Amino acid sequence: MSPAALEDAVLLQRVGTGDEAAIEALYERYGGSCYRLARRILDDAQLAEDVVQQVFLALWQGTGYDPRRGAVSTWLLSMTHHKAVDSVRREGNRRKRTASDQALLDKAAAGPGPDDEAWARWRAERTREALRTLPAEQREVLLLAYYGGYTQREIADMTGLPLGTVKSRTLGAMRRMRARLAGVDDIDPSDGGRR
Amino acid sequence: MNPVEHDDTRWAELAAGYALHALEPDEEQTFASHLAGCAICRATLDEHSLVAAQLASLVDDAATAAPSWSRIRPALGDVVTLPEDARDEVARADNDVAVRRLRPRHTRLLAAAAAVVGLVGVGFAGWQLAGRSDTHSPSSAVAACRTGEGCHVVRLLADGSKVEAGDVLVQGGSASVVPTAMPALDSTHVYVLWQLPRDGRPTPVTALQHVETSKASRSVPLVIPYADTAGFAMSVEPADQVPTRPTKVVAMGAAT
Repeated sequence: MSPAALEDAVLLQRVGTGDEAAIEALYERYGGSCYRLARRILDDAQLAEDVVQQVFLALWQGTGYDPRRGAVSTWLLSMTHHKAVDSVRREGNRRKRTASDQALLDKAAAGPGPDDEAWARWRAERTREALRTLPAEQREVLLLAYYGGYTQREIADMTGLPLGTVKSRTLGAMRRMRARLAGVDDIDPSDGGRR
Repeated sequence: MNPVEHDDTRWAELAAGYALHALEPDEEQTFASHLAGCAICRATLDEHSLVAAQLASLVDDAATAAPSWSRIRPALGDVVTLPEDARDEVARADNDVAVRRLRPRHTRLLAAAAAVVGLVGVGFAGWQLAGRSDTHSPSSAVAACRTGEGCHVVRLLADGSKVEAGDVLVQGGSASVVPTAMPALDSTHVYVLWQLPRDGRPTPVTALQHVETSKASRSVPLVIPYADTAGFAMSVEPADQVPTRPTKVVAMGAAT
């Protein structure tokens, strides 16, 4: 367990005792990442803030996070993604949602980058490179699902591909990404550089 | 077997779609039901969830400012920091003799903290040999704290000696550690800083693995207000588990 993970575990233990300072500390660490993810998916500051509130409320209430399943940061980002996608579907703003592969990649990589955090920058570079090396057809379905918030059936309708093909390409993309990114979550070169 | 190579294609595909939240509701329900009894699908999903979290890193540009905590905080409703009943429950932990010995007064606190060391029965010759005399020059962070308004320096002394191990800097409800003589630990252990309340059990504040002499660690919020703090202790703990109480106290100091 890395020092950062141990600190997270200590903070979670404190959250479990009703310690508000502990959840505030977790928000200081990960709230920014969660908010930025929600903001990129939703293109709406207020909706993104609502999503982050829901995520940290769930953490506060102790609903859902299982330490055996991985780092708290992974869970927070997964929850954020899940709720942001729910929100974008609920809001019915699909017409605003970006559907182009390149546009989604640009959307994902937009902004100046986390220049002040070596670890985040390194991690993002590795992820960006892994995405770029995916076969185009795999990258397309992955980006449409993750950043576009589309279901696989919607992706099949949009692209004219059979649903089974969308599913197999998605699985292929995830496996390749995991292989390319092996170790990214096991190494923390800045030791505490995370927020 | 690598869980991601799980040969049941259907479940593997569903796991990937589930991690991306890209399944239709009926598929999501089907997979969620299956997940409870399928360890390999659970492991596969964990792997895919890591990939999804890494995809999130691409949007983590620092230029988009997140809302302050004060805007998120109202969603939590009414909360009380460290409710008394929670403290009491923790204080009733089994075998925590040292905790029960803690008393509000400094003298009693330090006696109890010494009892913690006595309980674990660990000698710290190596620690003390690695320590330096307290004639070292204080780091700039410590010096700044000494002269800064509302900043407190708590000197941590290695057990049973006057050898300084480090300083705890407290300001604005947060604390950081400036090591002066904290030997490097192997990768299986970490230092843990504990807050010793005037009334209650030691509470972990932060963990440190890579300590650098005279360099302040990242500041972290205190669990209990400094005014209610009798002192701090530093212990060495296994890195692979969360400590519930100090097991190897190597230094301590009274709040000023």
